[in-house]
Amino acid sequence: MSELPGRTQPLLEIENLHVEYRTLDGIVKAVNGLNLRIDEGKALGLVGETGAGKTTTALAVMKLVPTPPGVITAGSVRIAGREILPLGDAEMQHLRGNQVSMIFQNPMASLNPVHDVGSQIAEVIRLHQGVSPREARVRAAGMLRAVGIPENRAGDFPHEFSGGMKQRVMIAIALACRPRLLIADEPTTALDVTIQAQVIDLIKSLKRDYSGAQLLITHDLGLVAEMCDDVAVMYAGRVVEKADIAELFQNPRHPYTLGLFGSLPNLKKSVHRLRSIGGLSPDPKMLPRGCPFHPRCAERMDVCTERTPSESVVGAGHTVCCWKYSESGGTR
Amino acid sequence: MFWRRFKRDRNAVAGLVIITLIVLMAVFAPVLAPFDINAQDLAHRREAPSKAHPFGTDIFGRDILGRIVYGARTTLLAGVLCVLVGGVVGSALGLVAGYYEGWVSAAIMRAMDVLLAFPYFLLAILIVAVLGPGLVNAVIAVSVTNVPNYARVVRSSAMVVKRHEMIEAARAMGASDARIIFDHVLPNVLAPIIVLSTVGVASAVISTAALGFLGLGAQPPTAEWGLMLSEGRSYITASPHITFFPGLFIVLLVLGFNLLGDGLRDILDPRLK
Repeated sequence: MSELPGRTQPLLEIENLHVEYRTLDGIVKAVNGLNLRIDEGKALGLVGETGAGKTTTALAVMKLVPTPPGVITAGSVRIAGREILPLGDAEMQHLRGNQVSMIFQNPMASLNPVHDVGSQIAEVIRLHQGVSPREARVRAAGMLRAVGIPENRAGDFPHEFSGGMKQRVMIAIALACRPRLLIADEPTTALDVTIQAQVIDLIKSLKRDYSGAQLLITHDLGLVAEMCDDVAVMYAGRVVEKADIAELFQNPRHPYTLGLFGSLPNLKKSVHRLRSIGGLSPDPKMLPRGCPFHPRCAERMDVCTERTPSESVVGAGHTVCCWKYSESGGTR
Repeated sequence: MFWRRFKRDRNAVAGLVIITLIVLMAVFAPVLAPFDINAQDLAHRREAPSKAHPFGTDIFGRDILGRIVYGARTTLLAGVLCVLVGGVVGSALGLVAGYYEGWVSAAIMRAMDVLLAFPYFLLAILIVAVLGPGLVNAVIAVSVTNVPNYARVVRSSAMVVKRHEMIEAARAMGASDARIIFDHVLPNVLAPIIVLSTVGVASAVISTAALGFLGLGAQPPTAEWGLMLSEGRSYITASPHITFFPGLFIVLLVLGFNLLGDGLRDILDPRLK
């Protein structure tokens, strides 16, 4: 991403991140040289197919990649300028839930069935703010109110709530300490459509009051358009294209991004059949040589099968990893 | 919710009633038997049950009913202590082994396998033989033999709970390992621990009674049901009441705990909800 004058301080900066899972059947390369940056106060949407490495990226930012078998092999992750990969457990525990929070995919499974929801919200407050148990309960009740659940339900247990309300509770837990970065990993996938809309509105309205920057992980381009300032498209563990919302939706460049848009229904045009991208995403145990997208790419050139493209700038804040747009590579 | 389900389970209620009665008997022993239970009355040895001695007298002429009432204290306390010590130690080991996989888990579980490799009762006798006979040592011995059972069950449950998303969510809110183990994993593995404990009291009562019977547990003149059985065994044909009543109460107590344990297992099993 080019440095433009007047841009704010980056809150999250990921450089050349590599994560792999060393399993018995081979090394799964989940993230391969990922670069990403989110500025203070911005929301970035990370989109891509299942298995593109979105969730692994999010877990790496919290240093929660399950180890073993996961290993962060290279790269740097800076949160508010502080490098986190070398930090120890105690320092990470201080960071998690406090400066960086995460909302998980499945709210039904993310709450502990044996504790009431009030004490689960109070727990994160007590962990990070060093207040008395009574004060933490009061603040937890306040958080419940902020996510639209009556305070008098703080003593109820997770099984007494609906799926949408549980996700609200998760949001309350994630935002209770006003984190500087909120990671939402497909926060609406497990919910039905009307509840999705409520949860999205809630996250949007709380963003101003409670959290600095957001990383939204999803495969729903509509959700990204609704909630984010910038988009990064991920494929096979790398970001292949990034730009701000307007630019990317009007002017997609990477053949994969074009394919994604081609596969979306459009209200303005009537299309007989939606186009799909041929083939499957590559097996992360055996990534193809060169550009990982080349086996499925309609515009493949010789160089694509040989060497991996690097980032090329194609517009203001718009970069693409594709030989088509590379000044040096495409002709060779 | 729990109580409603519990009341519908007749066996569990019966078990709870039996246990409650025996506990009340132990608590109010001085009221129920307001005399010296160790006082010998050699003129009235091995008397059959009568008005004066409802359960008869033993070989030293002591009132058997009184000794059963006081014996409830020893037997119950020994049984509960065995489970408490064995359960706490075993559960803690199981939690740690289940949460940290790798060499920690392997080391703990191999040690448990060594304990399990001995026939359970032989191990108890071995420990008493080393520590010397006596009620306290018998309790220690039975506790140690109980540890691996808890460790195995709790470890397997903890391994399941640990992979649950809520544990990842807890870690994402910045909880430490110790906090996750005690606040998030332990309450979710409590059901098997409770069930194992209730059934465990029954087997601990039998084990301490058996050690008492062999002369390795409670020492005379302590009133303990297993020891009372042992004292009457030479007269089992001539004066069966001396062995019958302590035996009956051991059976009742064990039955009570087994019924309660089975009932709790059904009630606490989430799959049956």
